[in-house]
Amino acid sequence: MSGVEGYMYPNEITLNWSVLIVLYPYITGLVAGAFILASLVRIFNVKAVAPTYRLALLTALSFLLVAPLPLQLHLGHPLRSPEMYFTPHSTSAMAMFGFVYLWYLMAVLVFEIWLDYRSDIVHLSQTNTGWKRHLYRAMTLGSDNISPRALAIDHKVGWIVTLVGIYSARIRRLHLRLAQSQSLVELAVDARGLPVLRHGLRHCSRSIALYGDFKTTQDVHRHALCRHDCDVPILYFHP
Amino acid sequence: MNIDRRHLLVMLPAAAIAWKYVLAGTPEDSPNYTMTDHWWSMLIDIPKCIGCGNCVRACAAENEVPDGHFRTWVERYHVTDYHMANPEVISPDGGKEGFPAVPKSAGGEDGSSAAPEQAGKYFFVPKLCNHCEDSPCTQVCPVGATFVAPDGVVLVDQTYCLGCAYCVQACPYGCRYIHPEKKVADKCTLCYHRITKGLTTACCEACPTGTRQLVDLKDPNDPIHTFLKTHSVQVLKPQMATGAKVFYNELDGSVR
Repeated sequence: MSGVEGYMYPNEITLNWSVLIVLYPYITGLVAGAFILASLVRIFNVKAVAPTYRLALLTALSFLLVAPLPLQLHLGHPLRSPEMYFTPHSTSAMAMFGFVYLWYLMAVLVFEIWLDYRSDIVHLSQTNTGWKRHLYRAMTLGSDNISPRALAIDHKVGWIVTLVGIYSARIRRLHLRLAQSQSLVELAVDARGLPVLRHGLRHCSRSIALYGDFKTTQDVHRHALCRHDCDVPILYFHP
Repeated sequence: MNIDRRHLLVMLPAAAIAWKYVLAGTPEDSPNYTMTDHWWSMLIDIPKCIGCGNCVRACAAENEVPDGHFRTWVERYHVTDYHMANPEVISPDGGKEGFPAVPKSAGGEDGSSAAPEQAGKYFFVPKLCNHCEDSPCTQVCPVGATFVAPDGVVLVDQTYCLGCAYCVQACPYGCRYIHPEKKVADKCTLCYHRITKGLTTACCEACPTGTRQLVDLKDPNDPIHTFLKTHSVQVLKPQMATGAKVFYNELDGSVR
């Protein structure tokens, strides 16, 4: 058996990416699941789950809004995090992921929810008075056509957006794994001392299985890339 | 361009504030130091290192490095016979207080035989940030707070760093850490505040044997150029292709 046993670089003894980071794939997993439920209604026309359509979409939205919270809490300077959007570093997977996330949130989820609620929002904007009227008028984004033809267009656009959303969720997940693979491998390397967990993690990922030769997580990450000749390290650690 | 008074009254203060930010981005004047004249690096002579830990203590004092974190540290390798891929490595508190004595039964020049697990060779490897030319840490920073300066030193802008620790993860050499108080990424700066004034780094200054030497690769008179031609020199983890600039003389193959 080769490799260095029982030694880590002194600076790596402190685990930086731990439970707060791991929470994030868990929450976005819930988001994706809720979105799939909604897409069952839209794309696959499964009538049985139709009553859950709005609830699924709203669940996805609420979890997606909350998901960045553990990430923000993990940062040393959370108030500087908008800089990732204003001055992103184009070679950084994390910075680019911010935009992927924003795309999924705005262009897919919020858009789809708006499409579904549009007729209700227009109706509310026309029947309410006072500040609520202004609020609903703003939410209509200027549209006020709720004829059957307009609703049919809504339905069709919603179909396209859901389809895009399914693929966006997949891309988002893969990009997330690219950026976070190092942290998951670090958890696996940290699990060296726990044979059962290590064994389980080995089954989960072939790149983790290579860690025996290496001392640091970066070794595993890069070596996995070299050996398997792929761009994305393959880690199947489902939380 | 027709601007009426009202627009001008709004635009002028906005322009003044914007100009302040533009000016804030320009670097300070440094008439005595031209960044592009230098390409800093370091040479570490492994056979000379005695594992005293002076460099670790000097760096910690000079740069106020917090306890438990290291901008530079020393590792002691123990390689038994031909088992190059299984060295035994220790770094007690980064080598700050030196190392425990090698057991007498490990054998020595008096020809005494050693217990098999203690036989072999022991040597010290001081490590620090390699100030890579193609560094993985600068690649992954989401806001570009860490960067390669024009004189070859990899620095962190601590007023911009988010403290996300992505660079700490990405560094293959384990040389970065999150400062527990400032909550930003921190690492060896090659004593930038000293080398730009003509001094050498704290670790090189404190080293009693001349193991560590600051090197300016752009200086034609620097002895490094002759050294590289006459000695067997390696970098750590060449397979990572990081463009590491810290050169190790007679680095053993067992060093990870």
